[in-house]
Amino acid sequence: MTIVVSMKVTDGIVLAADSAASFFDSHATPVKIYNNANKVFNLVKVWPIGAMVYGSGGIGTASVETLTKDLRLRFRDQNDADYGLNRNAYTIQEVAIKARKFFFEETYLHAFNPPPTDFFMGYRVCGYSAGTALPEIWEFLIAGLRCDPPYLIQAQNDFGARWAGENEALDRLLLGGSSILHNVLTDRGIDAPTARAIYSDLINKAGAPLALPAMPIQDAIDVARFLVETAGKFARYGLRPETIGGPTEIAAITKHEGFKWVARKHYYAADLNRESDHD
Amino acid sequence: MTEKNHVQSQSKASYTLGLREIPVRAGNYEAQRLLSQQLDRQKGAPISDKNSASKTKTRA
Repeated sequence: MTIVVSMKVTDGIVLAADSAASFFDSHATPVKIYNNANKVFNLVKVWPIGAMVYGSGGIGTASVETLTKDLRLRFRDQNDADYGLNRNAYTIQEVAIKARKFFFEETYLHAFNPPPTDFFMGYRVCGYSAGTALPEIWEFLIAGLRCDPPYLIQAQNDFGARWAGENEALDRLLLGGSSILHNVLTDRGIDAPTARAIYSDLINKAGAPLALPAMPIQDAIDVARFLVETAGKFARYGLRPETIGGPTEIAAITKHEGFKWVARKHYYAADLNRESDHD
Repeated sequence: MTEKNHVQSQSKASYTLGLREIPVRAGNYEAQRLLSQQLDRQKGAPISDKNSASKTKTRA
C-alpha cells in the first residue's frame, strides 16, 4: 500500500512515493510489510517522462518495477510498431495509452484467467510531451475486470499537488477534512448535493494548497517530501498497520534537465558496480 | 487463563475492534482540483508587504 504524490509547478513535476510493500492474508489483513519497494520510475531514460504506481505492486509473477523496465525497452525501440516512441512527436497521453495496453491487455489479462475481482492498481504517467513548454499528468486504473482508458489528472495549465493511495492523512491536512465527511453528512439526513457543497465549502475555507505555481522546483521537492513523510508518520503512529513507510523516493522532471533522481535507494553500492548506469 | 493472559486477550480484542479498513484508491481529484483553484487565484498576484512602501514581490 502506498502514498504517491506529484507536485506540478511551472518549472516541472516532482514525483514522490514511500517504499512500503504490504502482503495480506485471505481476510485482507496485512501479515508482512517490507519497506524497500520501488514505486517511482523513469519511463524512458533521461527523457522527461516518469511514472508512479500505487495499489498492487505486481502483476502475476513480475513486480511493476520489472514490468516498467520491460516497457521502457520497448518505448526506446524505434522498430517496435506497438510501443516505440518518436522523440520528436510523442505525447504523454500516447505514453499512458501504451502503458495501459502493456500492463492491462498484454500482462494482466494474460497473467490472470479469470482476472481477480479484488485487484487494484493505479499507474500515473507524468512528463512533457515532445516540444511542449509545460508538463501534464495522466493516469489509468486496473480494478478487477475493468481498466478504462487513461484520464487526464492535470493539464498543462493545472498546478498543485495530486496524491493517491492511502489518502486519508493528506485529505485531512490539505483539503481540511476526512473523505468520510460526505458520508457523515448524508447519514445525518443531508442530501448528497448539499453534502458535496458543504465539502467544497470546507475545501475553499480550510484547504491548504502548500504550493504556488511559480515556486522553485527545489521547494516543490521539499513539499512533496513533506507530504509523503507526513502520510508515513500518520500510518506509523496511528493504531493501524504501517502500510506507508520506508525511504521516500523522489524524482523531478523539468523541461531542460529531463528526469532527475533526487532521492532513491539501491540494493547495491553504486561504487562497487561501476559498469551499471544505475537505472 | 491467567490474569496476565486475560488482560492481553482483552487488549488484543479491543485493538482488533478498533481497526478500520485502510482503503487504497485513486485520489479525490475533483477535490484536489478545487484546492488547486486557490492557486489559480493567487497565480500572478505578487506577495507584498502592505505596510511597506517597497513591495516584496515574487521575483528571483
